[in-house]
Amino acid sequence: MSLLLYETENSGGVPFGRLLQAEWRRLWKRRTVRLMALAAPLMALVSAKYLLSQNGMLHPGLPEYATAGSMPVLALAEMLVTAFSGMMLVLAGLTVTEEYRSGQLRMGMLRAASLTRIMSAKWLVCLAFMWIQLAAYFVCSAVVGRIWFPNPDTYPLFYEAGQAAYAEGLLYDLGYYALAALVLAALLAVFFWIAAIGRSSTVTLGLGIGFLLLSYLLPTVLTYFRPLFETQEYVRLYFLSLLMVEWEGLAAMLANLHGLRLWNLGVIGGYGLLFGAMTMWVWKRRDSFE
Amino acid sequence: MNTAERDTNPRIVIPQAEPVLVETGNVTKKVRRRALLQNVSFTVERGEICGLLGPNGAGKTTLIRAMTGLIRPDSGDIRIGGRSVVREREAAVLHVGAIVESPIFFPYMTGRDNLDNLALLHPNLPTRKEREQRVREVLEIVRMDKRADERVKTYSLGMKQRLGIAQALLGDPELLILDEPANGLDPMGIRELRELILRLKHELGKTVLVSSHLLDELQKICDRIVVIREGEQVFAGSREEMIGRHSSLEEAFVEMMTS
Repeated sequence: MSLLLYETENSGGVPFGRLLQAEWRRLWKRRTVRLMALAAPLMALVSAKYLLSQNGMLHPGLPEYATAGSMPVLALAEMLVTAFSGMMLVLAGLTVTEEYRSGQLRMGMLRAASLTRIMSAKWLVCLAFMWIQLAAYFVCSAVVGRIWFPNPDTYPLFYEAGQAAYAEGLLYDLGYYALAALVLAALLAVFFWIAAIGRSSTVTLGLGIGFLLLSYLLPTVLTYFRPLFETQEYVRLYFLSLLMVEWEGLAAMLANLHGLRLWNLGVIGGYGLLFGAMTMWVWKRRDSFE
Repeated sequence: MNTAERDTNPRIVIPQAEPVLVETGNVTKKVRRRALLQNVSFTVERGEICGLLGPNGAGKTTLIRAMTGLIRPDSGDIRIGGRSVVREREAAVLHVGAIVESPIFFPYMTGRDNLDNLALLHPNLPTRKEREQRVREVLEIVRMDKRADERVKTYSLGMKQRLGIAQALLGDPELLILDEPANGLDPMGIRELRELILRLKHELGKTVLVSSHLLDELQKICDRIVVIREGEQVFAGSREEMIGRHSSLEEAFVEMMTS
């Protein structure tokens, strides 16, 4: 980022902050985005309905049994892979593929802003939107949890990470959401790369869903070869999938199961750096050869 | 923003003494061994209207894309206001406002919102007040102020062209580059566009490079003509030089293309 700002000050180009402002304002002018912004309370209600029905089939002593304290984590586990990923795919399709393919991005490029800097601004703005959604979802699910779910003195955390009272549980929830925020940043980098190569928003959507399916399929296939690996090797291979990190890996990180905290952080960082660099490479080439 | 105000901004220095504003030198661009542009060299002086002529596929839009820094020439240089578009792209295109190919806007926003948003990307419009003032000014220049608060998707092509010129004027550029601005316009629209371009030259002192197929229109407004065919420059000079012994620009152009 500092490199981008430095470049601006020395080249007479547009300050990076103004690029961010322009992207942010444009994002909010879209009806689809404004509708997505209203999704958090709705998603929390849908999750609550599902978790209440699940509670009827579960023993209250299990970590999967939803309580006021565990509701935000359980609700996010339901929605992170589906709704949040879907929203990010739509954002990438609208802001990157559609604007690039329709020629709208040319308007920015004609104003002394390089494509690489425009894309960096877009990524940051979409990420800010998703983080706000995540924060809104946390608040909504905590409120819904407090109103609709039982609130025992203590309840068990995942992977035998101990028992937590409500206040401790909320801190645990915050840790879980912070890790989820990192995964969203990495996944958005993946989707931006897909959006950069996608010829239309529909293609971007299809490729993104393909990436998610592949991320589910490979670890599932791996389970058939479980006896061939040591436990440590197996879980590390399993959590090479970003989708699995989203789905099961965050709770495992908080419990530091099999030393997964560092490993999964590395996986998240690796995806972010790899796909961020690949996206930059695509745009860097297009800076010259559009 | 007038010239005196702009000169007080230390970040934007436009040398005013040189009469030549645009200088292209041996610009060559190849894609898969096919030359889209081959040694194109011409100059445009400040305050001139320069017509860029050529049949479809001659390389006009490629040249305009190179002049606005959207593509990089394989060799040669383009200097605008003394700055190289190839080596100092961001500094060079600060002097330029352009419509490339067709005016494309964000259809879900109003005309004013589009301009407000694009004004944010101008380094020489640092405050909100200045941006709002400039947006009002350019809307008045192109006579779009009454329809500015309607969504762009409701605009006619002529209105979009005028809004395109308004966005090109946002940064108060010295050079306006208009790529086929009359495409799809009816006779009234073409006339309004011609009057607008002449007003930009005479009242605001703008230099304009305009590509078009409408030779009659170019004959009415251009001081200088550049003709390219299959990527090669076949003429660069004054309108009078081009017309020469012919009765019109069209006749001279046809002979140039068929000889």
